[in-house]
Amino acid sequence: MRYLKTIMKAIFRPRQTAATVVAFMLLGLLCFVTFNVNAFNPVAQALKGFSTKDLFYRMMLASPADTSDVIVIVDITRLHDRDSIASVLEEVDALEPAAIDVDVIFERPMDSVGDAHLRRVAEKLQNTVFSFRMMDPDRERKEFTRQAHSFFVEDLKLNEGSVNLDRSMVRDIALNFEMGGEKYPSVIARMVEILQGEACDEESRSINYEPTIFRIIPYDSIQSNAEFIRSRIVMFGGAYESIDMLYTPLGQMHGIEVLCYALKTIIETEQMTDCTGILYWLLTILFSYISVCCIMAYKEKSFGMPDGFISDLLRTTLVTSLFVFLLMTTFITIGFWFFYKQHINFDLTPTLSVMAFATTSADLVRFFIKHTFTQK
Amino acid sequence: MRHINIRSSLLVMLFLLAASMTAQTPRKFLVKEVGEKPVILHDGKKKVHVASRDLLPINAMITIPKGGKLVVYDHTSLRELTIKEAGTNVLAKFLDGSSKESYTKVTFAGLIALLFSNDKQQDAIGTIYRGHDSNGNSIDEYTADIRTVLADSLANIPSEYTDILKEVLEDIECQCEVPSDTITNAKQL
Repeated sequence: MRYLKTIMKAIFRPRQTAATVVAFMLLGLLCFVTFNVNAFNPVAQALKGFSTKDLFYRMMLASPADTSDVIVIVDITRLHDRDSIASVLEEVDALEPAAIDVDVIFERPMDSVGDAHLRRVAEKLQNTVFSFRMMDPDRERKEFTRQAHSFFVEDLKLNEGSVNLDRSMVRDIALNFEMGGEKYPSVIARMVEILQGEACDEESRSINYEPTIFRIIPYDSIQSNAEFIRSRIVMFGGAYESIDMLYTPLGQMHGIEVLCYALKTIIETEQMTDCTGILYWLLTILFSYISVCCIMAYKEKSFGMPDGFISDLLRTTLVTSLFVFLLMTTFITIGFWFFYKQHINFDLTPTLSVMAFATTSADLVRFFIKHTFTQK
Repeated sequence: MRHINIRSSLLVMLFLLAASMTAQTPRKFLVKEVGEKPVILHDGKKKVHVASRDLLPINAMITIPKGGKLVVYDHTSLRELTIKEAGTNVLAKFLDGSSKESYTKVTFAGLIALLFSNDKQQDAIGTIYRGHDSNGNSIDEYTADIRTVLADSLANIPSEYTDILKEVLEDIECQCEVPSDTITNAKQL
């Protein structure tokens, strides 16, 4: 215990510790004001939506993306009549893919020939998941009141999964929904069940947006791309549907591509580990303290230098801010290395915010010490 | 001019034929061991359980369950690759993150032989595998054993494995101390 005290004393210097505490207090004050004053609502929304993970995914875009060998998209954006859609689906199924996700909801019967054809094909399909959508959310009871299904699914008792995705920013994929006390697996959970033979019980999972190219096979080139379909996972739907666009950390993306990323996340070998809980906050405090120490050391050094051009330059707000920015970049780079190479996600948002307040908090501590202790 | 065109066309056709033949023969890996939980090979719509001694093409899509394990041989680099990651992916991607263990070429020959010998010669192979016996004698002492094992196993070898074995034996002939008469016998399969 005595050794621990000595070590803690050696690491945590009183001034630096006080400056870190003040920086956290300033951060808390800012959060309180932002989230409780209506005028700052847009800022609060922006802060809520910020995650260093998004930044890391964006950084990953700089290196060339891999092409998925497992998941392909069969695009039917320009195909509108159900008879043709059924023919393409039949053609895809004949190539024996490992699983098919039909990302289209054929809600009501439209034309008798096309509907009959579609029904015949759907009945024959194996290893296939059809989509349905939860609709009309009841915000008070936090559930959906209606569902939109393909017209033939109930009669034929086909495998079905929901395709609801977050409209604001899709970071997570819901794997199981609850509605009226009943559990509804999502289309991704159903696909995983087909592929791995085990039901997926998780509620949701954060999507790994490591940039990946999913081959898009046009509906009229199925045979020439047969090798990419056999024994692979086929996502069947519109890859260029303009109304089906969603916001993701990689920018705007089509719904079917988001589903590809979600499925890849669940079935791929390397899972991202999120650093959370007590360990996360302990590390955040440690990193914040280190950054405050660095910034205070810089300030002390620059103020301790004899007056001259260099010392004046180092003391300017611009150069001090540049130093803080450099420190932030270093932390982001280290965080990115862990994210990219070790698949460990550590959200640096609080640490970076404390760094932004570090110079102010150091000044406040200096001011307080000067006017409290020295006068005595 | 016409002659040149015909010759060029022939050359192009030959090149395309060679390229397509190369493209159509993906590298295959011999399965040494499957963990307790079944590993699934997605063969079209069918799901097949992978068993030891199966040949898996590098682009095969497989599902390894949580806590599952798959060990394959890479006969081109003479390595044993152990996959412990769970998930669904093509074998090539799984191999990227696998742990690799190199074997001497003699050991590899022994292991291949073990696979084909229906476990008849486990003692001899065990000696080769360990690299030395309990008295600390080196494997050179056991070349006779290797010869016996290979000769025995070659008689029972399934036809689908002969190509792999020939390739391996060619490697061995170049670089290790397996007696050349054994290699010659093997190549005459």
